[in-house]
Amino acid sequence: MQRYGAVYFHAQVGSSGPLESQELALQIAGDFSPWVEQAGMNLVVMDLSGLSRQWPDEKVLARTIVQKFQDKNLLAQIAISSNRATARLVASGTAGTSIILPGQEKEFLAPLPLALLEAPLEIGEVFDRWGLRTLGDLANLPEKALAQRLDEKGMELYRQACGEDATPLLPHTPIETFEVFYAFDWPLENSESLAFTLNHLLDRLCRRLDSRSLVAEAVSLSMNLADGSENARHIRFGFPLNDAATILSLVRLDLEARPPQAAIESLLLRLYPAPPRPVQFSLVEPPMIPPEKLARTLARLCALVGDQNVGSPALLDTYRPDAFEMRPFDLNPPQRLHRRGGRQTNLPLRNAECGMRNKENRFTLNGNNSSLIPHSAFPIPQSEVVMALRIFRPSLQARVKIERVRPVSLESPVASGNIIECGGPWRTSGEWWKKDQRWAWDEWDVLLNNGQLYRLYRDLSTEQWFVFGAYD
Amino acid sequence: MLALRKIELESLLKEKHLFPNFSSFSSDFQEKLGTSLPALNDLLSGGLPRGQISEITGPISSGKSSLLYSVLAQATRQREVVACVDCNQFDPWSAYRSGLDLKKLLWVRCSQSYQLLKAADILCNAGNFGVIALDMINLKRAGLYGPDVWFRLQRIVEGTKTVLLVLSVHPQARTASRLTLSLKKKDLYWEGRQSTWKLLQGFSMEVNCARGKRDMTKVLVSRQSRKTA
Repeated sequence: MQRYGAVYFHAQVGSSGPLESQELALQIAGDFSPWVEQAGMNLVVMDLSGLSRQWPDEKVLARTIVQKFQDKNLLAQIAISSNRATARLVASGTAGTSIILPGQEKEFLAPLPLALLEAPLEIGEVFDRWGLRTLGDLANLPEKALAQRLDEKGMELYRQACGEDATPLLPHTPIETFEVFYAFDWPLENSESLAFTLNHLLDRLCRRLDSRSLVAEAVSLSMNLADGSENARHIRFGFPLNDAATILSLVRLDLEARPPQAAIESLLLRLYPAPPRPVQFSLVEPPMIPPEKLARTLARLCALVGDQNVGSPALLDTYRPDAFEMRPFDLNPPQRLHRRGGRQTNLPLRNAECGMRNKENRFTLNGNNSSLIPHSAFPIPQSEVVMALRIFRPSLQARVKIERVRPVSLESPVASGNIIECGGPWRTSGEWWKKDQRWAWDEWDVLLNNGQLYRLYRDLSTEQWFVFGAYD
Repeated sequence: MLALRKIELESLLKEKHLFPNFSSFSSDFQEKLGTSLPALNDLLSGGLPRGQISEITGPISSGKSSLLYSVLAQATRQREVVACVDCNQFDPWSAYRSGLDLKKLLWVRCSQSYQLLKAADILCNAGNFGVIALDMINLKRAGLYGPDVWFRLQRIVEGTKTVLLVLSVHPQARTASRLTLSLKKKDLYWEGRQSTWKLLQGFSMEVNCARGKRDMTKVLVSRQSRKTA
C-alpha cells in the first residue's frame, strides 16, 4: 500500500536560515526514505511505503520523525496519508501528528482553509465568488457541474480537495559535485609526478561524469603549497569535454604557463558538469576539427599569445571605424534561435532590421554578430575583390602638410612622402551622446609618391592627423 | 614497367621523407581550393593547391590583403574553417564586406614575430582548417626564417586539405612553397573630380604567377564601399 508522509516545519527563532533549514529537513527526511520531495519552502514529502516491517505503528514513526526535526531545532507537524496531496495539505493545515487511513482523506481535509490549495488567481477569484471557504465546501460541489465551469487545473484542485491525487512523487536529487581532494605524503616538486596524479584523478572524475551522461565545461585546480600559500587556477573549455587526456593536457599547459612557486602538499581538483552538446557531422560538408583537438589547439594558442588575442572577431553595431570585439572561437555554439516571419534565423532582431545603403545604393547588412548573417543575404558579388585595409592599432600620429585645403605631404612612423593624389574628406562622426566615446573625423585616402595608398584622418576635436591604415 | 619503377621510387623517397609523391607535383591530380575569381582560377589552373604552402607577395598597397580576404571568404562559403595569424592588422570590416563568415574565422593576434610561425605550427598540427593565412607583411626582409622552418611546415600540411597561405612583401618560404603569386598595383579608380571633391573607388592589381606556372599574368579589380548612413 502506498503511504506518503508530509512534514511542515519551521525553524525555531535564531536557529538557522530558511535555506539551511530546508537542507536540514531534506537530510532528516532522507534518513527515513530514499524518495524525498521538496514540495515547498517549508514542506517535504517522503515516500514511506514498505516501512511497515520496521515501523509497524505509523504513529510511532510519525513521532520519531517529528522528534528528529525537533533535535535539529525545527518545529514540525506531520501527516501520513495514502496520497501525497492529502498528506501535504493536512500537514500544512493541522498541528501535531495526523495519521490518515485510506477513506478518511475527505474527513481530514474538510475543515482546512481553501487557501492551502494555492489556486491560481483566476480560479481563486471564482471560488471567492462562489463563497467557498474550506476544502470541504469545494469537495461537496457536484463534479459534473464543476467540470463545465472550471478548466483542467480547477478540476485537479477539486480532486485534491476530495483527497484524490494520482501524481507521482518528484524525488529531490542533490546537486552532485565532481571534485576530489588529494593530500601527498611528501610535498611534490616534480611536475611529471603531478601530471601522473592528475591523470589518475581526472580519469576517475571523467568516468563519474560519463556514468551520469555529463561532460565537463571547466576544470579548477587549487593546490596548497609547502610555503603556506595557495595556488588556484580555473580553466574554461571552448567545448564541453569528457576526455581525461585532453583535460590533462589543458591543465598541463596552464601549469607550464603559471607554475606553482613551491612544492605541492595537497590539491583539490574539480570538474564543472554540463550537459553534452550534440554535434551533427555531415557527409557532404568539410570535416570538422574534433572538439578535443580544437580545445587543445586553442589552449596552446592562448598560452602563446594570450587569451585576449585568440578568437573570432564580431562586428559591433556602430558606425565607429574598426569597431569589433573578440569572442571565443566556438564552432558549435549552443543554439539560440529566434523565429521571425516564419523563417528561422539566429540574427538578433535589431540587427536583422539594421541595414544601410552604400554609394551604389546597394543594400548591405551590418551590425552585431554579423558573422551570423546567412550567405544568401550577402550583397557583395562573389567575383569582386573588396579593397582591404590593414589597420594600425592604435592609429599612428602623423604630420600632414595642407595646401588649399588638401594634404600634400605626409610624415609618419610607417610612411613619409609627398601626396600625389588624394580623395576626401569623408566625414564620419557619432556617439556624440557619450562623453568618452564620441568621435568626429575627416577621412582622406592618399596616394604617396612611392605608390603606397593610406587612409588618414583628422580628429576634428584635437585637429591632429593620424594614419588609420594602409590599403592593400 | 615504367609505372612500377615510379611507384618503387616514390616509396623510397617517402621512406626517406625527401619528397612527396610524384602525383603531388602534377597539377592535374592536385586538390585545389577554388577562389571566387574566375581570372585567378584560370591563372592557377583551378585554385590554390591544398596540402601545400602558397605565397602572396608584393609591395604595400598591391592588393595582397584584398586577395587574401577573398580567398578566406570563398573558403567559408564552402563551410570550411579558416585561420589568420597576423600582427593585429587584420580588418574585420573589410573581411566582412568580402563575404567572410567571421564566425568561422580563428584570428590569432601575435605581438612578436617568433609567435607567427609557432602559432602557424600549432594550427597546422590541428588539421582540418581549410586555409591558414600567415601574414608576415610586417617582416622587412626576405628569408628571415631558414628553409628548415618552412619545410617543416610544408611537411605538416602535406597530405592534408589545408592551404597554408603566406603573405609577405618578399618571398619567405621560397622553395618550400608550391606557388608564389606576385602582385602589383596598376590603376587607381576615383569617383568625382580632383578640383572639387573625389573619393577612392578602388584599384586594379596585376597578378603574376612567379612560382608554379610561369609567364602568366592576370588583372583583378579591387573595389571599396564605405559605410554610409
